[in-house]
Amino acid sequence: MKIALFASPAEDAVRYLRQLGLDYVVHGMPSTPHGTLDYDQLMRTRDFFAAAGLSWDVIENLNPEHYYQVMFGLPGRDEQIDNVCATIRDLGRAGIGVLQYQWMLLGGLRTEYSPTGRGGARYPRFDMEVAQRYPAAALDWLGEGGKPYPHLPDRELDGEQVWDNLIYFLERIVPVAEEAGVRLAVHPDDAPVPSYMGVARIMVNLEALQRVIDAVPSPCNGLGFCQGTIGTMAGVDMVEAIRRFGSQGKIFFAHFRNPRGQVPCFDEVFPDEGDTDMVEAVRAYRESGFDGVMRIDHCPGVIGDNPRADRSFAYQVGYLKGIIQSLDLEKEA
Amino acid sequence: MHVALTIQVDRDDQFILAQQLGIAHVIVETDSWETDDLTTARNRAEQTGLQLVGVECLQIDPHPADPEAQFDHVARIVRDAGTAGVSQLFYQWTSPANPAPEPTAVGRGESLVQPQLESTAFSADEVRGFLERLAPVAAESRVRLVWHADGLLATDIDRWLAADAPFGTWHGIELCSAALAAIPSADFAEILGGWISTQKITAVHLRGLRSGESGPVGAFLDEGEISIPRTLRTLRTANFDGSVRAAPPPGLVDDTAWGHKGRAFDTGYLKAVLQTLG
Repeated sequence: MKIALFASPAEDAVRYLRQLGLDYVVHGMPSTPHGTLDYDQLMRTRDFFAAAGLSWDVIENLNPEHYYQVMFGLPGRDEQIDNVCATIRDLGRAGIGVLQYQWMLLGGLRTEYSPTGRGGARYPRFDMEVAQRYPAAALDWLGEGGKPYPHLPDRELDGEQVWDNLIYFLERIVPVAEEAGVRLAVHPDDAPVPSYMGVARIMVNLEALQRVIDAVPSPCNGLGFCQGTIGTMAGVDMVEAIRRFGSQGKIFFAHFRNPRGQVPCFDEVFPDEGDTDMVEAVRAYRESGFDGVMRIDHCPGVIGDNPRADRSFAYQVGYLKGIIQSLDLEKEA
Repeated sequence: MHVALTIQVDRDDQFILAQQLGIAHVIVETDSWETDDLTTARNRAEQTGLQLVGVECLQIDPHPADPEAQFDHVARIVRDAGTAGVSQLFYQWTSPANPAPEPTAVGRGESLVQPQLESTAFSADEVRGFLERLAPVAAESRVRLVWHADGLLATDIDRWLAADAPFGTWHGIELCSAALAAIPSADFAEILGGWISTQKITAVHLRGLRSGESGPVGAFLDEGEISIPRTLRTLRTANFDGSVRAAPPPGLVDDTAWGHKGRAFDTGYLKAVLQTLG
């Protein structure tokens, strides 16, 4: 298991990762106005990380603005798919083996970020009751995201339409990914509610994750296994879910996060106080043969932290390392 | 066994961070030793919902110029600690002429690490008389003195534990990483378990250590020559019920002097190891 943090190609950011003892970084590059990546910039970024001793194996995410027409099944989608294919080929040339993308038509949803947590830590929260009262305010991670495209929907879409659009997309990009040696990892809908403002959210349960895998069978079609999102799907047992998809070899990339609660209401808490026993979760990843990159995901806000949340992420890196090294000891015994 | 965090008495943010990181036990660091200062240390911990393990770090010179004056000073602090409701005082045997070395950027990712401190040389015999006089004061005040034994070598520990036995519960030793590093690997569990069974080890101070060009240097808990999971597993097997805490961490990029980032890392690490060990 390769622990990583998301980082930009900046000296202090990479030094911080190295100080925490990380060998892997996850990064998301901005697209060009045409919706492709700049290959030269991609290589420069990759080389910058490599020079700092960091391996960049996963890119996360594509800018949804550049496949918006595809998600909504609108005219112009084929041109956007061509751009995504060009990006995949460039990633293959650069040796970046995993592309995580999301299929959240309205982006990530949250309703609060308040000091309601342990010691007054700020926990990101989603509460469907609040979201129904102020639906627009919950879009794009409470407006804290990059706002890459209009989120307010101008039409309604049901689940099968969204599925059709996804499969149309996959049927065209998966063969390109196979050729390029890039594995495609879809991120589930966060928050995993079945519909929002009249637009279906399809990746909201384990059956849906299986359906994506089965719809276009390929060694390059799999999951960005966001533990934080999957843990908030109604009725999910996280450890069983890891074993189910891990044993199929379909976890291409994982997010380490441990929420408390499931839809319709959950909090993103510290990893030692969420609903999942994270020791058992890590054990399940290892036993199911997952050896990919695991990025520490969102974290609670702690006092005096910087915008990069170094303090909170340091806690989580230490926590994950502590579990892994202790499990290694168990193995030795 | 519980994870404790060392907090500077006048820093609200450190108390709050401790709570946020899920710490329940703190050791409060102070430079002032009047009754009011000790009461403040206890109050601040309690007011933030934290349990005060003790106050540190009283410096005691093993070779004082005026032994009587030093004894009176320490005895007064012990009595004041009792009055203030502080149950443990952590102290160090150290000479004023023993300054801490400057950290250098030779750690992982150019983190700032400190060479192993050079300890003041002294023997159990030299301080026995002092401790014998102090023990009744500590007992009467219901305060345990805990020697933060950062210079104690593994080869000397048995002797010290034997010397410490007569002081009962009013004196204990906080074991430090240098001692752990020197235990032969094959005998680790047996030796450490034996020390714990004396019930004189009341706390364990963990610091990553690795070999540097001119002796051991500090490291992060997850690297270096001491396996923290193995250490904690041994402590648990030996039914150790005291505090384990991390030494000041290596200096991370843009971190504070106290090391908010580094201490967050250490806290997450130690909690996870204990959780995994069950």
